[in-house]
Amino acid sequence: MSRRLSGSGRTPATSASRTTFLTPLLLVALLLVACEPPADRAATQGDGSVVISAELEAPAAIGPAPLVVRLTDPEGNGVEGATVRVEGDMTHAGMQPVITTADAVGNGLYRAEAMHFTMAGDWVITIVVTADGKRSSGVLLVNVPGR
Amino acid sequence: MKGSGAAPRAATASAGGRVELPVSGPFVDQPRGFDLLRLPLLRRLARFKYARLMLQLPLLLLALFVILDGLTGRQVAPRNVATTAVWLHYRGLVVIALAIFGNAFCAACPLMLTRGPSRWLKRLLPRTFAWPKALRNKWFVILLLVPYFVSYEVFDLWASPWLTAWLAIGYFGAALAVDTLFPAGTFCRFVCPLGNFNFTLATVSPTQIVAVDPDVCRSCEHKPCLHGRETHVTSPRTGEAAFIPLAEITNPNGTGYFPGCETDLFVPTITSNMDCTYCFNCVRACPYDNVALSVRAPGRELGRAPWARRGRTAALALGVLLAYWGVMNALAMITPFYDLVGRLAAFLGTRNEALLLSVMYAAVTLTGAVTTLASSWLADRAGGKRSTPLQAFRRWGYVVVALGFSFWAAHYLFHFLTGALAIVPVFEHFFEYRGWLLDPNWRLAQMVPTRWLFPIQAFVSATYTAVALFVAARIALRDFGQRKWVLALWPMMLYVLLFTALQLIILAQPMEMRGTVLGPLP
Repeated sequence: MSRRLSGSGRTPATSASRTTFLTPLLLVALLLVACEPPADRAATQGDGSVVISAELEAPAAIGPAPLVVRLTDPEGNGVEGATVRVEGDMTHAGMQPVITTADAVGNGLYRAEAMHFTMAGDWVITIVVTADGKRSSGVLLVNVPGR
Repeated sequence: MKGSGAAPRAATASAGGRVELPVSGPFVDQPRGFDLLRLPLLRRLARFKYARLMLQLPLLLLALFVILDGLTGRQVAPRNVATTAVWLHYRGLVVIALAIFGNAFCAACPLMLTRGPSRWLKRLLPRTFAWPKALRNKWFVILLLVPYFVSYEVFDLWASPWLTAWLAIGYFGAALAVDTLFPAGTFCRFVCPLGNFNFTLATVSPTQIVAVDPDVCRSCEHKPCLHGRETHVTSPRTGEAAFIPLAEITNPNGTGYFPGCETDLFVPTITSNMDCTYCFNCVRACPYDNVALSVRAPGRELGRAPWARRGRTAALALGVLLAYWGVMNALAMITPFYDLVGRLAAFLGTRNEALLLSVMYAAVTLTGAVTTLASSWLADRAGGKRSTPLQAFRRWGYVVVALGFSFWAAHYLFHFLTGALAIVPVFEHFFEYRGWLLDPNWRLAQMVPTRWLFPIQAFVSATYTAVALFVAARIALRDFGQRKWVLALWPMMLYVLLFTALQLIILAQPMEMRGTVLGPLP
């Protein structure tokens, strides 16, 4: 009569094969735990030729939220003629981003009139600036209260 | 479906606790609905030796995208494959699959592809260890789920692609480690938080694995659905399972090794979808083509005390706690919750989010446990039974499992319907971020107009409230008879209706998506 067999007939591997397998595994594990998250969520990127600062014109609330962006060079002079794109994302997946542009109003100031918040919660506003063919970006974190 | 039309005679326990099985006819009370495996395509798919692999490979590919984009991609949740695929699509599709079919995501689970490496690694061990007896229940799963849910809120896993990727890596690592050290299937049954979430909520699914003809199972010598089989023309090759010659097999399905159920379910005695991964190993291993996937009423099993013989209190506790953790999961997205936590912070004099969220979790859990125990006890009393709260809970707790599915389904559907189409621009962004010339269409997100969302959630709530009430009525009729069942029913009916009212109030609140429960520092 045939029977279900237990798996006791295995041959233990030699310590050399164990080492061969476990050493790279350990190295990969060590490399992985040394990883750090990419820092683009809250960091300014670019070559430093443009300094980006931004603020909302009024306290954050659901609805229209015009945003003023100030672009300066390292000496503090306003940067003119830049293209400024504003992207508002929530911190939860699946939420449609708000994407608009900011228009120059002079003295290195740019205003994103169409910026608005569609929902309460945490927002990550990314300001992407293209000036003199160079691209820089900055991030503004905003909490929109529920009421 | 074939099989005897005789009324099912459930297995009974003797005074000594030994289970006595009937000598003919059904072993236990199994549904006798339409067998989905009679549908030609589904039948062929279920019996195809590599069917599971076929389902797993796309999800493995997706998991690789999740890990890659989570670790190296843009760390903004709505722009990253990790956070979008895991927290939006996986969760949404899980509840949809559970509602209309069954535990499809365990069937396609890519974590099980670690089986190959784990079998290889087992050879490096002197022996396979036995999973400790004390952990062979759902209490350990509950213990794992507590830090999992609290971490989800404290570390805003939903907002962090990087942590989401690590969570995926952790799952693969844990599956590999557990199933290397212990027998295959240990991870699914006793460890995996996702699997156990699916197992528990699959109890409301409209399908279940059953035996076509229980008498065929009774006369089956080797029980291949449980232990696996080997089939070749002449002699066994691997010695992994019973050898059944090709000539003795009704539906051979090819030759080779066919594994049995890794979570130790014996087809003719299955009374619940708990622990069933829908892997269809049993379908492929059965040499007599005697396994069916029966359609059944959602909630059918909950009205029949399915965990009385397997899982008992721990499985029931898992079901009830999942319901209340579902409440907490949705609560943590609305303004009144943040106000409450603000008051709690002022009262305790701390802004430590881990502490505050843990206190909130403990409060919701305690409230759920106490109200369920109290309502169950009241129902027993009203029906004239002098039970302890625990005995009453073992009778009525199943009602709450249906409510749990109601809450999770309504909540996850909201997110899914709000942003499911975003997967298109998110994948475009994956390649754009890595230098491809693509312009993602971020207008793609919502699947239905916003004004439809709450009515859909309310419909889901109403449907599973009806299921919960059906379960309660069935339990009342079963245990209290024609004279007292209405008396016994009313406390649980009140409980169900209050739970649903609370659910609708929470779902009707404007959603707020915050990573900081207390908001920014003033």
